[in-house]
Amino acid sequence: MGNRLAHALKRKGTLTSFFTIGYPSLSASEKVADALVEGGTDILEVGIPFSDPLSDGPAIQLASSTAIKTGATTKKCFAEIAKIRKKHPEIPIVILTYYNKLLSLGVETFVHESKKAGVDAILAADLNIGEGGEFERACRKYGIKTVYTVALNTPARKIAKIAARTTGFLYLVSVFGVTGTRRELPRELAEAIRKAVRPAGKPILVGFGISAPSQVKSLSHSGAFGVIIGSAYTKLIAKGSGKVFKKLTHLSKLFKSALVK
Amino acid sequence: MKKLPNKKGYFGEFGGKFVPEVLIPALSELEEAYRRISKTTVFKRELSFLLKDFAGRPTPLYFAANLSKYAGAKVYLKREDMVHTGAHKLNNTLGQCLLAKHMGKKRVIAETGAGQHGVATAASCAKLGLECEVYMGEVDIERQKHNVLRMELFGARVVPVYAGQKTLKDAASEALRDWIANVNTTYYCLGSAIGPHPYPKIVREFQRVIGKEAKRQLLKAGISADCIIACVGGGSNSIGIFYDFLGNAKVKLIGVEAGGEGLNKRHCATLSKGRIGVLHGTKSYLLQTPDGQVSDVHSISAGLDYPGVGPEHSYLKESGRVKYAHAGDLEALEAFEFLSRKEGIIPAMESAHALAYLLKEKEKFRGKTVVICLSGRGDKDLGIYQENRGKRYGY
Repeated sequence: MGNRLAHALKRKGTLTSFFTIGYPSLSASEKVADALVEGGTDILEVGIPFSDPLSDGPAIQLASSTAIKTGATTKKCFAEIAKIRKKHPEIPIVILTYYNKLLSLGVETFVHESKKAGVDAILAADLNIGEGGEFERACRKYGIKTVYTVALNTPARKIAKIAARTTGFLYLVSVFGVTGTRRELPRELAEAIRKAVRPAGKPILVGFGISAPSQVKSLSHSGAFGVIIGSAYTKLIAKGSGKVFKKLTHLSKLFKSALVK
Repeated sequence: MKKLPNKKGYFGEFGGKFVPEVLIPALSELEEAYRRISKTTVFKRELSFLLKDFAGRPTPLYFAANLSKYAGAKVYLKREDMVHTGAHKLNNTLGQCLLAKHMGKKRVIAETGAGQHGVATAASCAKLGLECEVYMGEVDIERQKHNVLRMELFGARVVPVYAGQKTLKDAASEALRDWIANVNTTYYCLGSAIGPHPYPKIVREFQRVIGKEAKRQLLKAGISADCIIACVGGGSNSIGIFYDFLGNAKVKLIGVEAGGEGLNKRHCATLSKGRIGVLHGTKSYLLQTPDGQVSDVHSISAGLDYPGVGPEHSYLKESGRVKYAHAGDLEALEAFEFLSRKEGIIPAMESAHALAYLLKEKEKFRGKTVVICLSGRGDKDLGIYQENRGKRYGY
């Protein structure tokens, strides 16, 4: 059970799907997870909403503020995660949130509660290795994997350092900017992935801005171990059509099949 | 006295760099550039010229005779309201924009609440030939219309922010998002002693001119101050005037936060009511819900309308060196009118909070020599005054 994440990262071509818990409602979270898993998602990334999401663009900002209004407190998010865990015992679950959510509950308590809910790894978007000491100690104590981001401007030597502190996977942020779908990804991205592979020495998952399966294919060819999709799903949920869960499954399938194994 | 912040940007347990990795190279570049450039003779000469002839420094330390008589104390006003563009903000923006220019950055961005930091940044950029964009919450744009026009006159682009409460906090978030997107070409000119390291330090260093001048002026006049009072939002004017007095235990230092509608209602009294959290890259006291969401805050003054506070203030609160108090909306309004009528000076609504504290606690200051940092002028607040004056009389 402890190696769900390691197991999912054994073979290249992993699809990580992100959604915000509590968006559009708390009760929908489980169904969103079901839909994404059915579409072939290998890793679920679940957002615990924060009022001031610095790394997020309009789609996830809206999801976060809506989720907060619907009552997605940290405690309720853990309860939703526990439900998802019960239904999908094998799928790795990664929490994506902001550091104040950990700090507010107490970093150690947050990590411990995550573990109890069945979480495998945690990523705080505004945390970097310079400030990660307390977080990493708690994660070691409770057997939770750490995830950190690297960016297009992170030098190779720093990538190696960050990778050494990451016990899950390395999250390569594909753009200069916030989350949100983009028609085109930066030209230097392919090169950045190629250059990061060696110093990282562990799976690199590329996220931010990915909107189309064709982008996934080319990232995959550049050496990305997998991709992380978030805003594309979030926008679909925002549209709120009756068939939203079917559409999520369909979109997830499209992304999954674009990945090169 | 220990020199703070330490290498990691901490004041005790407060401060640090809580930002995504993408900003780390930019913060290091800024730290290095500040260390290298700000100490050079060329930079110092240019900045001192700008502060003198462009900003109009030194500002007077003015004995407010009528106010003194009323308060039963000797009250001196450090006249930052007389700085060009109307507030102490220019001390910092001239320093930072000059630094940006020396770093070869062509584009400067800023966040603004009351608009004073935005105006100061826009003026500094106009003077120094830099491109300028200012993020401002929609609510603040509405309540500070003239400052928007002033920024535009200086050639800046004012970008409205519709997220969250549409005030200073959201403007700062949006400016940070812009910086993340344009980190290679853009200089982020932060307006208060907040944000990730090295900002709290850089802003303090550029604002220290207030305290250094005041210290010199007091010495020259042969006066020793018993107490210095300044308002605290993010806390740049207050840290600017306090810093050079920290080592002198005889001088009592008081920071006044915005009590808004009252501490059991909406307010911005972060140091009285907040608990430790992380917002905008720094660990400090923060007004937040039990669940760790940043609280909706309120103050009559847009410049104090912020749920966080500079990390050095959190440290100074913990250490007990500075005492933090609060004054509410109506008390500030009263002080706003009082200074206008008694001294012929319209204070900024922010600065009126510092004054309000003296007025409401005047018994405590009887016979003492008090310096108040009059951080800005109140011309920008006439609209707010007009809208709220009725409340003061309970109409």
